[in-house]
Amino acid sequence: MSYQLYRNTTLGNTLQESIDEMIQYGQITPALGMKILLQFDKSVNNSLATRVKTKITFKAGKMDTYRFCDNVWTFMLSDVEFKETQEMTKVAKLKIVACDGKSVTDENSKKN
Amino acid sequence: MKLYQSVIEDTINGSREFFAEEGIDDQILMELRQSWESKVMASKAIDAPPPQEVAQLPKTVTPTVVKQTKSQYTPTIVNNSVHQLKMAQQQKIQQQQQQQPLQSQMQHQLPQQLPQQQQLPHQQQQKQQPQQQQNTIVLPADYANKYVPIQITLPAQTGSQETGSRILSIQVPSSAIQGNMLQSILSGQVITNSMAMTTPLATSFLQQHVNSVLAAQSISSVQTVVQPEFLSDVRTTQQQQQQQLQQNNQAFISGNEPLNSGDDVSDIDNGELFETENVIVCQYDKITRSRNKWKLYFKDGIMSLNGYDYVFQKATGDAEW
Repeated sequence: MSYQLYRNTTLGNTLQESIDEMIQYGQITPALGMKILLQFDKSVNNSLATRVKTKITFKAGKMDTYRFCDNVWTFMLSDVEFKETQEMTKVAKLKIVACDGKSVTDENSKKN
Repeated sequence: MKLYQSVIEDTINGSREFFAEEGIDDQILMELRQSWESKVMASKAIDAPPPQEVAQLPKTVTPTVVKQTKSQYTPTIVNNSVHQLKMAQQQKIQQQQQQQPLQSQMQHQLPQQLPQQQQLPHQQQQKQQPQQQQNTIVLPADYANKYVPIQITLPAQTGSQETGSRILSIQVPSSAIQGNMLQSILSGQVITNSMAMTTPLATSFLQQHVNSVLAAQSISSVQTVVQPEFLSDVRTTQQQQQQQLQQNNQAFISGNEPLNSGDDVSDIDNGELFETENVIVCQYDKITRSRNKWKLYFKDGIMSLNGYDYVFQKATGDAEW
């Protein structure tokens, strides 16, 4: 099992749109669509864990909301500055949704 | 983005057996891949392909690409939604591309991220601006020569009595077809605008739009700096630059033919950009709090910030409640 939360990203949303369209056109079945999405979950979890090396820091002017529910953290932050070495970007509002990093690592190590 | 390419690759390859199990042709899987990739491109959330890719294209292409236009796929437009329209349109464009499948694009996108370039000072990029702007209005001969027709399916004109879809034909440089640029050029607001026009007007509007965007791109391709993944401020500068060039070119190309000001698409796009929610989807390693000070340790994240996507292995954040 891999986390499904990455479906809610550009990559995940566009895949879901494409799948929906193909289901609508009768090219694939909804069941097949589901299998593709599960395959996407695996791929994206795995690729993030193994292929990405970027480290960043950020600083928020204010934390507006925090919530911890079903092992998922959700934060709403204001005036957030991002840094990666010297580069930087800034956003006025930011939402963070984070699943537990440990459980996936555990499963991965079991698998490997 | 490299990661996106690898996820797409991996997801598609991993799904192949499911298609086989259901007895569905591999061709459908390839269609899915192309549809997905063009949506990702159209989202503009990822880096534009490196400029040298654009620069390399024109030489090898010949107009034979046109022959592949014949599609086995006939789009049925069920309603007037832009969404479906986009799909029909992408399918057509994609079919033209099928003979040069995506491997070639992949390779273009794969150049290693060069550490030196990443550390390239911001100022250096800015210095190039004046130089580039002097280059305005020069259309490379390649773009003028090898134009091929492509078809675009639009729903009936907004507000009209007719219901059937309309097929327009415009001329584009063959390099644009191969370079996978058309999806992003002919997307969103442009199409929405053209839907409200009569067929001839929409045709000339889309034609002009393609011309001006390509002209602007061919100029910006002079620049050979690879964009680092995290330099969003630089990107914004480049984008503005490009918009400006685009406007210059529009003035140049359209001459004294005043089209609807639907041309200023880029401004609208920009507006949408800032409405976009900034979201990070990730996993937490550790969350700590001491009084009102929080420390957040995340990993494996995908961020959408100001309309651009970034990924990280680790992210550490401070926040005060």
